[in-house]
Amino acid sequence: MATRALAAADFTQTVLDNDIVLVDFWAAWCGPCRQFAPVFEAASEKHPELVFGKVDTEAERDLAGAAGITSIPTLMAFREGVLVFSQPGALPAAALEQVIDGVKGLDMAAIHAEIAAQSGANTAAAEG
Amino acid sequence: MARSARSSGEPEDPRLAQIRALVRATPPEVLDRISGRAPWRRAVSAAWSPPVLLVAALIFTPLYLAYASSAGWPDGTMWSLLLMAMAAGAALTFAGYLRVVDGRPRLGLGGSPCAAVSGFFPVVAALALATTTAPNAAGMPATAAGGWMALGLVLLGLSNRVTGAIMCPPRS
Repeated sequence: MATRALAAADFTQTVLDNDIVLVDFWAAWCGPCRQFAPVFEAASEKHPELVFGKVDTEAERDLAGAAGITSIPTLMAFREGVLVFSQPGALPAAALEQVIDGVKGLDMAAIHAEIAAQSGANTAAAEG
Repeated sequence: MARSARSSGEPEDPRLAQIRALVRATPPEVLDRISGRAPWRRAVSAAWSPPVLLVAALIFTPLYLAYASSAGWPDGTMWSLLLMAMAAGAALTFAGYLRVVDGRPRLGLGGSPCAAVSGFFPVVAALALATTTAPNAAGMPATAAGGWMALGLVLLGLSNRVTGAIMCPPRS
């Protein structure tokens, strides 16, 4: 499967409706983004079972702002609707493969439990 | 980039609110653990981002030069090196107070608007202290210059927390 452009209108639905979604936040003027684009594209051909989304941060500024993007390219990975990876910088192909393998191998039950525990701890710390 | 055209007070697009909630649902600590990233790296980059470091450097470099010159910097004494370390420490501490989370300065307290406002008082007081105790034409003794710098740093940190504790009592 090739990459697909994501916008504010379909971002959340795409993330929630698919098991694993990788999102590349990019801009046309950004050199590292252009360098990362073919790597991302090749990975999308290699892993048709995953969704590879691309967000043009110039066209979707509000979306990029809502996603907390402060530098580009930024790669995010969602699994079962949960953000499990977020890192700025262009990744080489091998590193992207490592991220994909890592996301596939996650124990999501443990992740959900950890998020619940950490969120509770953060809330308590903020109120204390 | 990533600027929002939404003005304050205007309700946010629900789709954007959903995206914001989706991204924020995972605590940074969990993301660090999944990625195998050391937690201190995120803390360091959050506390001392490049723009904040630049601001701190712009404020503390002239202070350092003023103190170091009075402490024998032109003669190349060791005090200038010690003062440089102190000034760097003061700049990093000050930069830590400027840390911005969700568009609000934390100032080393709790991130609430009250804490942010109260945190400015000791910062202003410390800057006023530094200005009024600048070395005079005769020059300040090296020990006094270094002492003022260290004392100012400690007072800044303490008063920041004291004003925060007084003005922003814990919520029941």
